[in-house]
Amino acid sequence: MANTISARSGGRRFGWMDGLFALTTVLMVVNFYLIFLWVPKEAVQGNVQRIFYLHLPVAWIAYLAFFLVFIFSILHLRKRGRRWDKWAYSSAELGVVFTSVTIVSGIIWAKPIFGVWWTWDARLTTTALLWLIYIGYLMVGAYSESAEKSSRLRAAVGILGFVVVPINYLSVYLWDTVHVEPIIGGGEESFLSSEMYTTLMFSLFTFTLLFFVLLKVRVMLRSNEEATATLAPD
Amino acid sequence: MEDNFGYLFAGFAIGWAIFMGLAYWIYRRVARVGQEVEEIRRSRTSEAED
Repeated sequence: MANTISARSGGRRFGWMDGLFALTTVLMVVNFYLIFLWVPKEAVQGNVQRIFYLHLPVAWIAYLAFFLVFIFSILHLRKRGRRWDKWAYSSAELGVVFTSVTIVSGIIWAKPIFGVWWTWDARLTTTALLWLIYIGYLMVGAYSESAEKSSRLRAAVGILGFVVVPINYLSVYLWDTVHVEPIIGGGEESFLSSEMYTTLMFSLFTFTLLFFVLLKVRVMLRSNEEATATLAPD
Repeated sequence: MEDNFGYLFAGFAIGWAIFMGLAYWIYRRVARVGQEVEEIRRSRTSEAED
């Protein structure tokens, strides 16, 4: 049996990452089933509200990604070495991707509900700012002479840039904005029906799993980049 | 309108399967390159020691 599996996988046995890939694929298909076919239509907004089950989990994952950049950047400055910089950089890349999906899904949702694709209100502007800060984080290394110096510069941006995350979250309370206040955990008026809550939590879990699978692959790729650079002849 | 959601689900599911298939293929390539780099490094280290 082991030989069969080994032969199929090109001389390598299946490990826990292979299992996570399969699990994430299946869970996301189930997630699409819940979003498109299982969860009931929302009474006020109608079918367009289904974007919510994508928009909210993706926004949460973007916050998680930037929080990890913050933690890994502190660890990098404290312990040095390349290890934590790799994790921080990879997490920032995914954070930018997930923020992009948040912005695009928000734009698609906003047009039929608010009547505009985009408006420069507090939540949307701070989201755009967050996106630009972490694009800057990814770029900052390219302008430095040494890898060590650029990783320290990145870490500083990763720590300082995280200040915008709580401002972005609290912006709906601090300023007048077209964006709704949090649907769950946002006070007495925030509630969801049990089907909506189940779908949201399932979606959140699935996207979190996807994030960690992609993060692990991106860190492996970055390790390879660094390892091949050390093998190259001088 | 309701009827269209079956097609939408099928479209997303198929698109997702293709995306994850590509991601898995990249992962396997990355893992293999990582192994090869490690083997080269090990052989160079042992050559240097000899």
